[in-house]
Amino acid sequence: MRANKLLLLCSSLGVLALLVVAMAQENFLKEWRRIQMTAQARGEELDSRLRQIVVPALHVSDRCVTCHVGMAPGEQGLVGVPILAPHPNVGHDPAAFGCTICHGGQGRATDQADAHGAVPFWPSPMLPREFTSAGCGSCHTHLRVPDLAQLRQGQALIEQYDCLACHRLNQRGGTLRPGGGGMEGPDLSRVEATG
Amino acid sequence: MNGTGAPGTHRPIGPRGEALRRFLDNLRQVPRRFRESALRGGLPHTDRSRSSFVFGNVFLHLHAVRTHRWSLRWSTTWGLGVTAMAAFLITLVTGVLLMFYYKPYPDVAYQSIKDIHFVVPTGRFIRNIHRWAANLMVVAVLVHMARTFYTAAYRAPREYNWLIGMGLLVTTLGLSFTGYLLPWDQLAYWAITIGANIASSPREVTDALGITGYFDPGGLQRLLLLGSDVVGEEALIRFYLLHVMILPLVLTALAAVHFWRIRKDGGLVRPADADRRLGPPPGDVYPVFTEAPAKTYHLAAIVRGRTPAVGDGPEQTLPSMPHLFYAEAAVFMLTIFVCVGLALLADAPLKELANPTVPENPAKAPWYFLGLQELVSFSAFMGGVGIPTIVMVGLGLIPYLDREEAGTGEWFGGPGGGRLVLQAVVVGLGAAVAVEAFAIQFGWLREWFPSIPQPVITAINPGTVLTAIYAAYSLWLVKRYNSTRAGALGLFTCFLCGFVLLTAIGTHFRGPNWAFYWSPADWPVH
Repeated sequence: MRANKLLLLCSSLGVLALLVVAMAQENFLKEWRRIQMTAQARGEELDSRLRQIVVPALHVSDRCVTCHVGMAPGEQGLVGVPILAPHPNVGHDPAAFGCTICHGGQGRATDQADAHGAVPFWPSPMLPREFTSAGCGSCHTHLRVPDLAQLRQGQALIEQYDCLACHRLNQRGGTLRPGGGGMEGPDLSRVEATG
Repeated sequence: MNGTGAPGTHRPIGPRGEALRRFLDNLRQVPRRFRESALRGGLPHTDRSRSSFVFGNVFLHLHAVRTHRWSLRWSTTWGLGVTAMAAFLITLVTGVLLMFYYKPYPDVAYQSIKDIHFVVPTGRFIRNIHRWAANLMVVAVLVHMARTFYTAAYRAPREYNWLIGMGLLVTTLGLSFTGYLLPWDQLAYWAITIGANIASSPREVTDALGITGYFDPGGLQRLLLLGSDVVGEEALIRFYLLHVMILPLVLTALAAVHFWRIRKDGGLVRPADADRRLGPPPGDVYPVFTEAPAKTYHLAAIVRGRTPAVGDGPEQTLPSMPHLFYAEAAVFMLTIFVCVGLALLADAPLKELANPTVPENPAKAPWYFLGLQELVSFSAFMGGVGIPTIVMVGLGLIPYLDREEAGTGEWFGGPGGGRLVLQAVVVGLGAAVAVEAFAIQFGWLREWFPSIPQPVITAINPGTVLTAIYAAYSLWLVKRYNSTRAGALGLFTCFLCGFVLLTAIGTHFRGPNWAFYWSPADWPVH
């Protein structure tokens, strides 16, 4: 019985030790916790937790904003720190579309390697940064999607000629005719956007 | 005054305030009285009260009150049965936890596994433990079976428990196999496709006879398994129900019978001269029977047969509590330690989302079926139905054919003993390697005579040739040692060697199109 008691003691202590290791892994060693702690260290008001963007219509549950916490809905972001920066203004709000719709990768994952998706058994890794506009085609299949330079030029021209004085475009601009009768110019948001 | 003496009102039993005092006193006594009522007389402190504690507790009563010293030696069982049961309990607890998050519907199932892996608190850890415990359970059940065989524990009066044990083996494999589909990834999908094809393998025979149109047991088996023509949502919900409800209930019921029969069959097996080998009992034990009883006793009109303990004093037994319970708790804890340790080291696999249009090549069944799949590659019917049936019938018949008594309860007991087993290992492995090497090097009948009718290949293929060699060798052993036990030792050892070798070949040495490769690194890149 002595030997059995000793075995019981040793294996119980062993299990206890392994559970402590598992506890530490679960609570302290997660990559995203470290990243959120850096943000807190830089004075960001942030509670340490998983964040996600859920868009049922697009079958999207993207946890990218757990690390890219500056892009999480309702967070400010730290300009100048790449991983914590807010999303550049591209006309599509990440809160409405999620991340993987445009960028690819594995939205359900919560560590970098798995999320960026260049891992075994994940068929669609993230698009490289310079090819991000290749993601536009996942929705805009019926359009001749311009390259990014052309898109920027068009956006600049719209600003330059002040088209928004009369036309409405992506919830900006447009004026109402005096005395009713609708908008001064037609809404251009969906021009060529319906097949 | 205020009507205390009025007729119809209650008179206080004692002095004023007495009831309140008793109430407070009772309140203070609640923990003690609860303990006494729950444990039927408090925690036991003597051997006698511990015995009555075991006797009065529904769970502990599966054990005898006293356990033979022989049963407590590590080398008697190596704790393998307890390991299997412990692994089952671990899968039960972790499985129930996983059920909180798992959703049994195609694609959604895969995403719920991803969620368990990435965001459910400790989800990945729990799933890993579940997976490792399930694998450990399959291994433990097989090794436990080998222990039972090699100590000849299946012999009368334990034949029936051997059959229950075979039922437990089949149920364990069923539980593992049904769990395999649930993640709904490529690995699961194509493994279950292979499994379903094995289920439909009787078609090889019915097709050859041209009667599949009228009589199609293979198609029926496949339909019963999948609930549809292909692996889809019907198969998933079916496997889920089998995995989380039906098979666990079956296994629990069989295990209860299995444990109960251990008691009823007179405890664990031990050699006839176990008492002599153990030596005299410890000094503080005094003998109860000083002379052999002149007659045997039985409880007339209550139970049939002699009670197994007649004439045996309790000198060679120890109270199950604490001696047996410490042993069981130690094995249980060690099993948890192994499962948790492996769970921290290696993740349970999860490949891409299941895609019916992109078959895996090679598509492999779970590892414990890869020996079968290797046989199936020669002949679907013989590998999937014929040889497994022969093996199961053979295993089930062993206790009814071997009626000898020499060597019961001893490792490799029986004529020939360890030497015979070693020889059988050489023959079993050698024959399997030779047959496999021949088939891999030179091909088989279909390569030499392309127009040969299928029934010939069904009857004569590497699998059946290997089975025939094993059977012939065992019969020769029966003759050579003039003992059925010798034949059984040879046959079981060959069966184990064949299982291990074919599983190894199926796991490691088979690549795309089930071709032979020395290493997965040599597989062609596509």
